[in-house]
Amino acid sequence: MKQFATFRLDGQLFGVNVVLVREINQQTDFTPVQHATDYVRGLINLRGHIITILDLGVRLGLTLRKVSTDSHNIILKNNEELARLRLDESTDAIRTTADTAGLLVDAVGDVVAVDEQEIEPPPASIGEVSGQFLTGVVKLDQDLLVLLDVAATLATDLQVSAK
Amino acid sequence: MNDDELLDDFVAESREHLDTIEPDLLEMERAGAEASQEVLNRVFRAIHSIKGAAGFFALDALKKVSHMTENVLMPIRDGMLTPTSEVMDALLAAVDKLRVMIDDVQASEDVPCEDELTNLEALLNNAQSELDGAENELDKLEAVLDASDDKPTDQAPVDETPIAQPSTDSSLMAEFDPASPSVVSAVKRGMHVYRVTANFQDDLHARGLDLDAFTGSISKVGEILIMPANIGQLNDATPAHVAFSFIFASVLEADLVPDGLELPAERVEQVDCAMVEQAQAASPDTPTAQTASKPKAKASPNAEGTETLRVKVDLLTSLMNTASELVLGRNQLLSALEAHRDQIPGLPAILQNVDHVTSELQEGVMQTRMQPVGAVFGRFTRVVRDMAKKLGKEIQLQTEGADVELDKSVIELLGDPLTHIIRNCADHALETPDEREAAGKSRAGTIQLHAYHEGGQVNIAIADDGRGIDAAKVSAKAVDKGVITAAQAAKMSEEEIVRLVFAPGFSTAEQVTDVSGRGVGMDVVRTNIEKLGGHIDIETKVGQGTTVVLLLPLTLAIVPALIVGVEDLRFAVPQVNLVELVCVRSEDIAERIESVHGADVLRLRGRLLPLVGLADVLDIEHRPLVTPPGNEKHQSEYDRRTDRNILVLQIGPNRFGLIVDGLFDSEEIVVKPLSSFVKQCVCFSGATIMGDGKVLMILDVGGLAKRANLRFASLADEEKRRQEKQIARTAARRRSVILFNAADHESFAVPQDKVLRLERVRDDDIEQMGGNEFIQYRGKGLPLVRLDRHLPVNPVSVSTNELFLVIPKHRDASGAVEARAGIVASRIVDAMDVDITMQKANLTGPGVQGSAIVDEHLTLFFDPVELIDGICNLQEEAV
Repeated sequence: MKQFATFRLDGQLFGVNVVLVREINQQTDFTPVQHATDYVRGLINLRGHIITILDLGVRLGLTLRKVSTDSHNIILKNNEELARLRLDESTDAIRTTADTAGLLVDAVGDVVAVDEQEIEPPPASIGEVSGQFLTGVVKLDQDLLVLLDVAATLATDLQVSAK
Repeated sequence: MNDDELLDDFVAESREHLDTIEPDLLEMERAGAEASQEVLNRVFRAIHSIKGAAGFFALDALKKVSHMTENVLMPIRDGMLTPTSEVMDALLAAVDKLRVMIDDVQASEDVPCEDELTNLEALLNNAQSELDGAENELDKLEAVLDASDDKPTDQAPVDETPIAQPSTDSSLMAEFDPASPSVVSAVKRGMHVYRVTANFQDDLHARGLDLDAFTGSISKVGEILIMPANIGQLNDATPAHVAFSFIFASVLEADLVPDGLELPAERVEQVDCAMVEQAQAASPDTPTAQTASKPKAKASPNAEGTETLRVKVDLLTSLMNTASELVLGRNQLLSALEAHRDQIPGLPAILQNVDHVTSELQEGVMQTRMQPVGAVFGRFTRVVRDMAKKLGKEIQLQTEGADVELDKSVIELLGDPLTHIIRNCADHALETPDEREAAGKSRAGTIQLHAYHEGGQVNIAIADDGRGIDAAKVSAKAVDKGVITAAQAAKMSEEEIVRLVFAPGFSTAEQVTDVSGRGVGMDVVRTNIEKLGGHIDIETKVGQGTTVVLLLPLTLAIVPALIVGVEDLRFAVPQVNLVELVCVRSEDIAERIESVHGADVLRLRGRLLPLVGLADVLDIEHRPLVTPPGNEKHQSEYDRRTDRNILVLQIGPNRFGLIVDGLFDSEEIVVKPLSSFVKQCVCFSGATIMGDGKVLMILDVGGLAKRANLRFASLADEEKRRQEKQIARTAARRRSVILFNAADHESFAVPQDKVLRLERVRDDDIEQMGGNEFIQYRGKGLPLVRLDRHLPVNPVSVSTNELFLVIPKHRDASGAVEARAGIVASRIVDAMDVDITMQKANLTGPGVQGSAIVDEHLTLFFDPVELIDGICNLQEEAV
C-alpha cells in the first residue's frame, strides 16, 4: 500500500506520495520574484528558511491560482532530506530537488492509501494537464485520483509540451 | 581511524608545521648568527615531525627532502653554519617543495626535488670542513670534562638503574650531573635530557655495531652528554649481556626518542632538568636572558594553556546559519510580544534574557569562524623577501594588528588582492636603493601592513614610502588608454585621477615585469574587494609614498543594506553599492531630469547619470497617480509620490540613479542564497528575512544595470559632446575687444585679433590730399578713416589735438600683415574680455556686428577689417 496526500486543482483530485511531503501550510504572503519563471509564485519564510512556492496551476498548464481561505502550500522535502530517510530503493521516484520547494494548490484533502495494483498508467492528458507530469491514475469510489510526478513537476528544465 | 584519515591528519599537521617554519626561517635569516635557540629548535622539531610522519607513511620523497633540510638545520643550530641568505634560499626552496608535496600528498613521490636536494647537499659539504674541525674540538672538550669529573663513578645510586638487567655493572652507568657544563649547555639550548640504557647483546651486537658505530648513530639524533667513565674498558670481549647507560640530549620529545635511537621505549628515561634550570637561575654568573625564553622553548603545544579542537568548517557554517536564524526569530518574537509586555508578568525579563543570550550565542558562533589576519600577513614576509631579492631592492615589511580578526571567508578571499597590492608596492612604488638615496631617503624602503578596527569594519592599510603616484602620468595614461577622455581628465581632481588606477584596463607599470603580473591591474583587486562587500581607497603623495586602504566587513553573511520600496513591495539594496541619496522635488524634475537618446538622465554636479525606475526595470505595475483633490493633505501626499527618490548606485566605474518610491531604514541583513528556481533573475543577488518575518529580495546592482540595458559609454560620449559644446558656446560669447570712443560718448568695440596696432597721433601730423587725410606711417602714407563719414555717428570733436588710430590687421596676397588704413578715435578706453550677448544694432554699415552694453555704455561692435574693405569697395564703385 502507498499513501498519497491529496489536493485539488480546479476541482480535479491530485495526489503526491506522502513520503515526499514535509508539511502543509497556509502561508500565502508570497514575496514575488520579478522576472522569475511564470510558475514561481514567490518566496515565503518558513521558520527562518526561505522557500520557493510554485503555482502548481501554472506549472501544469492551467491558470494562475486564486488565493482563497482554502489555498494551501504543500512543502516538499528536498533531496537531502529524502536521502537522510534512507528509503528503500524500491520506493519509486523518491526525488524532488536540491532546494526545498512548495506547491500552491486550491485545497487539500485526506491522505489516501492505495494498493499499488490499482495504479494505472497515466493517459496522454487529463483535462488540460499533460501526462508528462503524471505517474498514474487511481479510480477511487467517487473520484479519479491523479498521481503527480513530483520530480517532473519540479524539474526547471522541463517545459510543458504543446497541446 | 583508517589510514586515509591518518593521512589527512598528517597533511593538516604538516601544513601547520610548514606555516610556522617559514616565518621562523625568515627570522633566522634576519637574526643571522644571533638567531634564538627557541626559533631554531622550533624549526628543527617541525621539520623532524614531518620527516618522522613521512617515514611512517612511506612517503620517500617527502622524507628525503625533510631529512636533508634537517641535516642542514643541524649545523645551523649547533652554530657551525651561519644562516646566510644563500642558505636560507636553499632551505626556503626545500620548504616550498615540501609544501607542494604535502598539498598533493598522493602524488608527492612524483614531485621532482633533485635541485633542492643538490643545493642542500652542497651547503652541507661546504659546512662540513668547518663542522669537522668544530666537532673535534667538542670531543676534546668532552674528554677533558669527563676526565675532570672527580666523582667516583661507582657511587652511582642503584635506584637510578631503570631496568633490571642480567648483569649490571654500576660503573657502566653514567651519572647525571646537573652542574655538568655539557648538560647546562644542552638545557640552555632547549634540549631534552634523557638517560639511555643500552645492552651490548641486543642493541649493539644484534645490529652488527661496535661501540663507536653505536655512539655514531646516536649522535645523529642528539648529543651524548655523559658517558660512563669505564666505557673504555669495554671491548669486543665484553660479555654480551652487559648493559651500560649514558646521558643523552636531544630536541626530540620523549615519545620520539626511542624511535630515533631505535631502542625500546623502556630503555629511555627522561631526566628532569628543573634543577638544572634552578641552579642556573640561582647562579649569578649565568646569563639570564636565555633562561627567560627557555620555559617557552620547552613547552609543548598543549602546555600553552588553551586547548584547541579541529572542527569541520561545514559544521561551523551551519551553526552560524542557525544562529542567524535564531537572531531573526528573536527579532520576530520581540516585535510580536512588544504589545503584551505589560500584560504577562515577568515577560520583560524573559525577553531581555532571550535577547541577551541570543546575541551572545551569535557572537560566539561568529567568533568560531574568525581568524586573525596574521594568517594572511604571515605569507608576505616571504613574498617581500623574494621580491626584494629579485628586484635588487631593500625592503622592510612591518606588520601591525596581525591579531585583528576577520571571518574565515573574508580571510580566504583577501590573500590574492593583498598579494597583488604588496607586489605592486615592491615592484612599482618602491625605488631602488640608489634612487632612494638620491632622493634623500633611507636605502631600504618600507611597506607597512596595518590592520585595525574602525566603525564596525576592519581596515587594512598597506602603506609604502616609495615614489608615490604621479597624477599627471596617470591622467595621461588613462586618456591614452581610452579609460577617460581628455575633457574628463581636465575636470577631475587629483584624488579622482589617482583612483583611476582601479579602472578596468589600466595598469601604470611602464614596463611589464614578471613580478607584478601581466596586465592584471588594480581593477581586479578592486573587484575582488567589492565582491567581499568591501571598499578600496588610495591616497598618495608624490615622492613620499602611497597608502591603499581596504575597508572590509567583519563577515560576509551579514551586510548592511538600505530598505527601499516600490508600490507596496520592499527591496534591500546593499550599502556597499550605494553612493548617495538624491531627492528631486516634483517642481525641479523638469530642470534636473532630462532626456538623452530617449532615456532619462539626472544632471548631478555636472555629470549625467542614467536613471532607472526600479518599478520599470522589475516590470512592477505602477498604480496610476490620482490627480490631487484641492485638499492640502492630499496635495502633500501627491507631491511625496511625485518627488523622485534617487539612489545613486556605483557599479564598477559607472554610476546610475535608481528611482524608488520610498526609503526605509538601513538594516543589517542576513543574506540567503536564491534557490535554483529563481537563480536566473539577474536583478537579485539573494533574499533576506526581515524582523517582521517578511521575505525581501536583495537587489543586485550590476544585474539591474544590465537588465535596464544602461549604455554608460554613449552617455559618457554625450557628456563629452555637451561639455565641448558648452566650451564652444562660452568661447563664442567671450570676446577680447578694444574699446574706444570717436565722439565723446559714443563707444565702439573692435575684436583685438583684428587690430594690428594702436597709434597716438597729433592733429598737426595729419596731412590733407584731395579731400582725404593721411599720416606718415613707416615711410608710407596711411589713409585715415573717420567713422562719421561712413556710419551714422557723430564726428570726433575738433577741439581735441591728440588723436588715436586703430589700425586694422589687413593681410596682403601673400598672407603677411599690413596696415592699409587708420580709424580715427578720440580716446582708447580699454582692451578687455567681455561676456556679452550681442543684439542687432539699430544702424547698419560695413563690418557692423551689433551692439551690446559694455560698462553701462551702449557699444557698437564692428569688424575694422570689413569696415575698411567695405569703404574701399564703395569708393571703387564710385569711381
